[in-house]
Formats: sequence, C-alpha cells, structure tokens
Amino acid sequence: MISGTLVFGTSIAYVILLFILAYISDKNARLGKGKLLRSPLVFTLALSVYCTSWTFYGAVGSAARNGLEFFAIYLGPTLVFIGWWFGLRKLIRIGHKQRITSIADFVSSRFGKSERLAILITIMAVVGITPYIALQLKAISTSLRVILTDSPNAALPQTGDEVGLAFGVAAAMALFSVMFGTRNINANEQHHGVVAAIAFEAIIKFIALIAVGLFVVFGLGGGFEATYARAEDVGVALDASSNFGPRWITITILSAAAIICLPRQFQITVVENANENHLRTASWAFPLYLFGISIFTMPIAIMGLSLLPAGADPDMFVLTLPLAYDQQALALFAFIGGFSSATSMIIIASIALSIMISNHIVVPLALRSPKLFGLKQGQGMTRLLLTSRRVSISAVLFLGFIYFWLTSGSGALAPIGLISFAGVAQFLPAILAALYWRDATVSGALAGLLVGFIFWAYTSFLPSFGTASPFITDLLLYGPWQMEFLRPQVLFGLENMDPLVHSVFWSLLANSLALIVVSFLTQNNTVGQLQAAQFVDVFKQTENSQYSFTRSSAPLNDLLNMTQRVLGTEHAGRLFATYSNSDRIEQNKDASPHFIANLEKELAGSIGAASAHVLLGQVVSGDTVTLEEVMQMADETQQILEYSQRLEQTATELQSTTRQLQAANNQLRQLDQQKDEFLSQVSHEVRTPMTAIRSFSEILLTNKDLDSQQKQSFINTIHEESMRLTSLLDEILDLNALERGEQLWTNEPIDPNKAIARSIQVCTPITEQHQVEVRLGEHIRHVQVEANFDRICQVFINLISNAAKYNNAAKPFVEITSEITKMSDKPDQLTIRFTDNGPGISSAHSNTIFDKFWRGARNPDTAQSGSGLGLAISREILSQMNGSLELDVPKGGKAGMGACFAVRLPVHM
Amino acid sequence: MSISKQSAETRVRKFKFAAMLLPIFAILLIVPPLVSMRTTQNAVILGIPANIAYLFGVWLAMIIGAYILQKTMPDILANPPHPEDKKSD
Repeated sequence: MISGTLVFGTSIAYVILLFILAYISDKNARLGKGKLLRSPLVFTLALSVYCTSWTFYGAVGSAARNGLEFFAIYLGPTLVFIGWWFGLRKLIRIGHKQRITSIADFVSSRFGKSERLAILITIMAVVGITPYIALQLKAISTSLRVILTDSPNAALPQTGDEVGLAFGVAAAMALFSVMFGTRNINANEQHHGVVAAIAFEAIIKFIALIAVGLFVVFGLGGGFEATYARAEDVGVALDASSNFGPRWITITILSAAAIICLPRQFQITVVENANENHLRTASWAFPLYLFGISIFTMPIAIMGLSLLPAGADPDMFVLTLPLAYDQQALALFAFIGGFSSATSMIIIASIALSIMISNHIVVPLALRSPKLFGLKQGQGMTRLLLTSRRVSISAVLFLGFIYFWLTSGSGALAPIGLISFAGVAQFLPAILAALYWRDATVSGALAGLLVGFIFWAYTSFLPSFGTASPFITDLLLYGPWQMEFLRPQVLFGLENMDPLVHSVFWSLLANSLALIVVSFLTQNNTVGQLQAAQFVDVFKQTENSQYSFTRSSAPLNDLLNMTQRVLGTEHAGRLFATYSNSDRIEQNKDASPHFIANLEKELAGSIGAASAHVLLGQVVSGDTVTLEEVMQMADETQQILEYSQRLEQTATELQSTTRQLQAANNQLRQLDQQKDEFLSQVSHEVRTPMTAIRSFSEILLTNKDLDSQQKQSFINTIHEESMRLTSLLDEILDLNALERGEQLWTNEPIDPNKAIARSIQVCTPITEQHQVEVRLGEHIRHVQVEANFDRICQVFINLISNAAKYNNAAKPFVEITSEITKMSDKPDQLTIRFTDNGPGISSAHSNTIFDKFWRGARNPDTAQSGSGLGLAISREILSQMNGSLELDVPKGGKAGMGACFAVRLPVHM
Repeated sequence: MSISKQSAETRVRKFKFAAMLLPIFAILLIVPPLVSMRTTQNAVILGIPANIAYLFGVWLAMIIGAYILQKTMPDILANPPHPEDKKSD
C-alpha cells in the first residue's frame, strides 16, 4: 500500500512540473525562441493526446474482455495518418488559410460561416465528449482508489466517497485546465505551452506503460511466448472468427473518424499545427507511437487474468499487477502515467470545447445583446472571452462528472469511449463534404448533423443511462409507447446486431442521406459558394487568391475600435500599426478591402469565422449587390479557371498558328503571282527580238531580189537581236542563280576606286553618246572592300549606264562619291553614291525599281533599252557581298532632284 | 532506371500514386477476408499467436511504407512554411 500523502504529493509535484514546463515554453515561444516547440517531434507527441486513460487502462480491459478489438482503435488512426496526403494535408492547409479555431469553426466556415451550424456542432461536441470526460474522471478516481486501498477487486459499488473523489478530481482538473488553457487569448489559438506539456505527458505515459509491460512480460510471464501460451487457459479470444466481424470494421471506421473529428484531435492536428510539413514526420511517427504503446496491451491482459484473483477489474491491471507483486515504485509510476493520459485529454478537450462554446455561443449572443453580458462601448471583449472560456471549462468538466455520477457502475472504460467516438463520428460526413463536395449546402450539413445526432443520441447515448433509470430500461426493452420497432437498440427491427454497430450504422446512414438529399434540394448562398470554392479547391489557389468585401469600405477608426474590443488594445494596435505608419488613425480614412479581409481572418483566429463575419458586417458597409455578383463570379470563375486558362492557351496557340499559316499562304500566293508575272514578262521580252528575227529572216527568204546592202542591214539586225536575246537569257539565268543563293564567286579584298575607274572607262561609249559628264566627287582614297572585282564592276556599270540612259537634263552628269560609316557590331561600311541630275524616281516607284523588268521612263532619244533586270541583279550581287543597294537621298541635295543610288559594302579591316 | 534520372513530373506522379495506394492496400490488409485468413487454428509465429503477429506485422509494414513514402516525396511538393513563420503583415 502506498501512502495517500505520497500519491497526492507526487501528483501535485507532477502537475507543478507540467505547469513550469508550459510556462517556460510559452515564454520561449513568445520570444521567438524554442525551435523544439515547433518541431515535428513535438507535434507528433502532442498528437498522442489520442491515447487517453482509455488507452492506458481501458485497452487492457478491452483486450481481456473482447480480444483483439483494441487493435482497431489504433489501426483506424494509422490509416488516416498514412493516407495523410489526401485528407489531413488538405485539412491543415485549409485550417491555416482560414485561421480555423475549432472543428465547429471549420464546418461553419465552409458552409457560409453559418452561426447555426457552429452552435449545433458545439452542442453536439459537448454532449458527445461528456462521456469521454466521464471516462477520464472514472479512470483517475478508480486508479486513485486502487492505489490507495491496494484492492484489485473491481466493481465495488461506488460509495459516496467514490463520487466525492470523482468530484474532487473534476474540480482539480477544471482548475488545472483553466490555469493552463486560458491564461491569455492567443491570436490564433495556439497554446505552445500546453502543447509542450502534452508532448511531455506523451513521453511519460509511453515510458510508464512500457515499464509495466516489461515487468509483466519478462518479470512475471517469462517472455512473450510463455505469456501468450496462457491465453487459452484464461479464455482470451484470439481467433479470427470472433474478432474480425462487423464490430471490427465499425470500430476501425469510428477510430479513423475520431482522429479527425474529436475536438481535441482537431485542436492539435489543425489548430496547434505550426507547419504543414510536420505532417510528413507524423505520418509514420504517430502510428509508430501507437504501435509501441499497444505492444504490451494483450500480454498485460493475459497476465492479469492469469495471476490476479477472479473478479479483478481488467481496466486496472496496469496498476494492480505491479501492486500485487509489491512493485510500489512501478505502481506509482504507472499511476502517474495514467494520470498523464487522463490530464492531457482533459486539458486539450476542455480547451477545445471552451473555445467552441465561447466563440460560437457566447460571442454571438454578446454581439446581439451587449448589455446582458456587461459589454460597454469601448470595453474589450478579451475579458468576456477569457471568462466565458473559464466558465465553459468548468461546465464541461461538471457535465462529465454528472454523466459519471448518473451512469455509475456501468462498468468498463472502452464502451464509454466508443459512445463518444460514435457521437463525434457524426461530424465526418459534413467534414468530408466540406473537403471534397462543392455542392454540399449549409442546409444539407445542418440536416445531416441534426439527424445523425438524434439517431446517435437515441441509439447510443440514451441506452448508456440504462442502469440509471428504470424508465430508460423499459424504453430499451419495449420501445416508446410500447412501439417495438422503435426500440433504441433494435431500431426498425434490425435485430441480432451489436449495439455499437447498430447505432453507428443507423446514425451514419441517416446522417449521410440527409446531407446528400438536402444538399441536392437546396442551394448555397454567395458566401457559402465562395467558401466552398476556398475549401474544396484549396490547393489550386495561390497565396493571394482571397476574396474581400469588394467595394466595401469602413472608416479605419471604427474598425480599430471594434478590433480593440475583441483582441485588446495592444494586439489591435500592432495590427493597425502595420497598416498606417503613423500612430494616429485618421478619422475619415477608409480601410482598403484587402485590409478588411485580412482583419476578418485575424478576428476569426480569435472568435471564429462566423462571429468575425457578423462582427465585421456591423461596421463595414458594402455594395451588397455588387458584392454578391462578384462573389458569384469569383465562385464560378474559380471553378472554370483552370479549364478556361488551358483553353485560352490553346486558342492563343491556334491563333498564332493560323496567323503564321495565313502569312505563309499570302507569301506563297504572292510568289505564285510573281512567278506568273515573271513568266509573262520573260515571254514578252523574248518575243520582241524573236519577232524581229523572224520577220527579217522571212523577208530575206521570200524576197530574193534584195540588194546586198539591204541584206547586210537585215542580217545585222537579226544578229543584234539574237545577241540581245542571248544576253537577256544570260541575265535571267544569272538572276535565277543569284536568287537561289548560289555562290558564283568568292569575295576578296579589292580597291573600290579601281572598280569605279574601270566602270567609268567601260561606260565611256554610252556616256559620250548621251553627252553625260561623269564626275568623281569626294571619296575615300585608300580603302579596301570585301567584294568581287568583276561583279562589282557589273553593278557600277549598270548604275552609271542607267544614269546616263535616263538623264534628260540640259547638262547631264553623274557624280560618284564615297564615305565610311562606323558600325558598332559589324565591320565598317563604305557607302558609294551614284547621284545624277535626271528626272529622278518618284516616291511611288521607289519600292518597285528593284523589281524585275522594271524600266524607267525612257529617254525618247534612246531607242536602246535594257532588259529591266539590271537593278534586280545588282541588288542580289550586293546582298551576296553582305552589302546593299538602296535608293538614297542625295547627300546635300534635295529629295526628288535626280536619283541617288547608294551602294554599301563592308570595309576590309 | 535511377530515381534521379526521372523527370520531376514523373516523380510527382509516381509519388501521388503511391500516396493513394498505401492507404488502400493498408485497408485491404486489415479487413476480411485477408485479416481473418488463417490456415490452422492456434497457429503461432515466433511464439506469438498468428493473428496478433499478423496485425503487428501489417501495422509495422504500414509504418515503414509511410516512412518511405514521405522520405521519397519530391521537394517541389513540400509546402510553404506556415504564414506564422514568415509573418510580415
């Protein structure tokens, strides 16, 4: 027997240790220190608040009574965590984005920030968790009794002392939770200190259970094999047929739902989560923790049944086995382990519930009737929030105590826990719909939750009071008003079913059906539609894709007053200081919609989304019609954004391809036309000399009596015309080769002045014939260009002879000048200009002169004409020398006076 | 083919598929018929009753699977830090 002083002393010392730990952690967190606090390890350990005294004591009891069933309690959460990529990740992402404060806030926020929904879920959660808290109270008070009296006998009728003890425990726990959880109102409901304490408790309970397990298996049982060998003798069911039936699957589903839906799990997993990436570690580490804590469950159950006297309470084997073998230190450690698991659950659960009660019930009421709650104008809401949370925590624990009292003697721990599990599992359809089904509506969620809650309360919660009231016992046996088909555990004649399976089947079925049917029949309002998009498509959104009160406006000082009321002066001041740099808020300055949206999120982080929305709606005046339209648009846009973006992209690509095709087609058509024109021009050009040749040769053939002089002249003409024809064909072939880009020569450094001199000399007959003076103007003397001498002469000759042929001035001349242009990115250029004083080239023709077969207005005096290919050939030649031929404005002269051709060639460096 | 040679897109696709398969197979392993499939009554594996050994074995396999899964998660899928960590507004 361990002395009461030692037990209470150790417990109090342990609580003080926890408190110090929480205090230091809180302080560190506030100073921005304490990286460990934000580590995946602490997150994982805090998650193990799942393992309450139900795990610590109850699992052994469950193993002793129901065989392998306890596995299912841990396999469900394992499934959820190894499937984290699809469920929990989305939950946490939304939680962070929307500043979710509780599970009620989550569901209400998704369904249009509905207050009614938040209230319903809060009530359901409180009712659903009450048995669970009773379970902890029962575990603590029973374990206290066991360790104090050293009596392994269970099912002692609970005396007044026992109830008193439980009440004492409840009161102590309430005090403890109030001190822990409501020391301040945090901006985003993160309680670093509490989480650190919970993580510490997770280690304690783990080590304690393992210690007891090692002692029992190796100290008492002689190893696993020897321990399990006793299983058959003590009647523990390990065979498949009795273990893996509908109840196995039901409990797996329930525990999987619980790890998400239990308010305390939601609090730790989503609200207290510091970084989404911690989930990666937790995905394997949390199942590993569960695995470790379950290793000794069955062996302890077997050894307890085998060694302890018949009638010993299996729920207390963890404590009674060490006690029976005089391991008092171990027993005390085990007691502290159990105490740890119970306190961590009570602290987190009561904090989570108190947040829900204050945010979703008290605040909305206070906003409606401030006077009733003693809220004066300008007074902070912080006090109200703290007070309401403290009261809520006490109330929740008191409810737990009442349940414990009413159901006293109802036996094992595990069945009580399962009632709670079935209760909170009613949130599951709404949560799944919130995450994955856009068209789920607020009415659907309300209907589903309400129907599920009623079915659960009738088939599971109510029957748990069966021993407490003869009226309920009657109801269970005969149904209300003797209507047998309404018997709570045989509803609608569904007989031969485990009561738990029966209850879960009916409640979840009715819940889901109501949710689906009502959602199909109703529609979300605009806020609901927008929130649906924000939740379901959370991964498709960028950082800034948040909506705001579009076109809404509110004076900054009004907003500040309101924020101060909720968050307190200091926090509100900090928030607004970032917005306006000056300390004084200008009276009439309006806040930007973006700021208002951010503010709403900040407020939602303290009082929940629905309250924040209502609160802000009082201050913010907005163009509601436009707002609605914008929301509608935003919603539908969100939905089709991805598709439309893709379509748009494809359309743009198509358009540009079409444009390219059109351009190519036009070019082809032009080329085709040019080809036709060219052919007809060539035919025409060829035809003229051919006609001359034919007619003269016909004359020569038919008229035999021509004199020799005439004959000579005709033969001369035929010769000239055939020469012209040959040269025309030569030029066409030449141009053709040039245009195809064939390199007919090699460029080499040559002296352009020599080429000019040669060209002038070659042109002498033409220039003299037309009495054109060729002047050599200002020019660069010593320079070399990359070109081919013969070909460049061909260009020069063409230019000079053109200038001569078409010049009708009184005193015709051609002036040749040259200059060097500096180029930054390529070799310098030599520009040689051929300027004449002829008629010039009108601007209309400036683009066409380089076309094939283009001829200038001929000098009437000159019968001689070119082929019309000279300029085209010249331009091709120059382009193959990396130069160019252009029509230029004569240097120093006026445009329109005479023509000026500029030849540009790269200078040889 | 080594993992590093695969394109990022392929790795992301493979990861997502694996992330989906893991829980599905885990569920299949712990519901009938697999979970209740035992050839002899009172079979024992390493001194531990077959049903318990099976459950612990499957459980451990899930944990190892989850460990490998998150270990091979492509870095581009890692999420931005929590707004709290880079709070600036």
